[in-house]
Amino acid sequence: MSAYIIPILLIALFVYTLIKGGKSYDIFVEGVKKAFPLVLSIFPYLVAVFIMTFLFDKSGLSSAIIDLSADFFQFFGIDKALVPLVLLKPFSGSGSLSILSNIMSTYGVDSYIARCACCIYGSSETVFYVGAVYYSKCKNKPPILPFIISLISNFVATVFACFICKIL
Amino acid sequence: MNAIFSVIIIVSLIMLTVISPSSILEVMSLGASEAVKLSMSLLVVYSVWLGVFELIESGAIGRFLAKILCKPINFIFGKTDEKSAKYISLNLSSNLLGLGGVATPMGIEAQKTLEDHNNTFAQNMLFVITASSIQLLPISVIGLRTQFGSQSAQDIILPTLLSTLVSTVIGILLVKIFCKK
Repeated sequence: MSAYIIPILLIALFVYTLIKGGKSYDIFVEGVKKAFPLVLSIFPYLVAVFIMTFLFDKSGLSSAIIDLSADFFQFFGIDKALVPLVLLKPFSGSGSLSILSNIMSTYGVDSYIARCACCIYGSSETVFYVGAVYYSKCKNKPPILPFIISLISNFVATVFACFICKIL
Repeated sequence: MNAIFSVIIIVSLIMLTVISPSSILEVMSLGASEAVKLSMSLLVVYSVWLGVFELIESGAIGRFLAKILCKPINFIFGKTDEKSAKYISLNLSSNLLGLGGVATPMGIEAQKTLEDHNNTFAQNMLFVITASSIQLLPISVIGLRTQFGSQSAQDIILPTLLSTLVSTVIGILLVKIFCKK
């Protein structure tokens, strides 16, 4: 069913534009023109965030923080096996996706840990990536306060996910 | 961002210097090459969707979406100018549907027009809402679960939706409390 939503919307859109004056070719090209400049403006921020993420991961800093903070997370009901996912998710979508599939194959896809991991992955965002990209055309870079708020709300959602997966 | 970036980079660099100083450049290049790859795939996504979005913007659908979402947007974001409100509504609706690649260009435009209007509060709000994830259906996770042979791949929808709701509501509340206009 959901597979039809986008095709139908697209057909409706092109038909509507045709009825309204029919300049869909001109309008479409006008939009595509913005694609290259947009990628150019995001690009430097992507490079910076990815280099940061790779250094964070490969230097062993991430695993050191995972070891140090396991007790802290356990206090909030977050299993040790989930800590790498919780810590990497704000940095990298693809990185946390590979951790997620790793958890699924290690613990079994329908286990509590794996369901919890799915929940955490689905309910949190790559905060640093969003921060870098969304402000890429702005003169002022993102202030620290919304970063902290985002990390806190993602953390609360993680704690909540670990709890709700026990009941549901 | 500057503070976070500096701290993480410096600590990581020091640790890598101790473990294997020769791998630093390789690791940094790996990061950059990952960014280049992502930019290329983003270029593909944006080429398709920015064309489509221009059609949406030029027609009635953009105005229609902005109109329905006008009340909730005003409630959450406070007063915003018309142009930003349209970008925000397009951004939120595609984020809700899980079309992150489509939502991003609209979010970037929204942040820029909001900055032009000196609306820092709405900028913070949009960032926090996006960064708290508002996707209604975790499509990629369900797909992955099916791939791993789950008995009930869809089981994850309700708990994910609830935790997403929790994070978004808390984010909105914290911005309302701490980011004064």
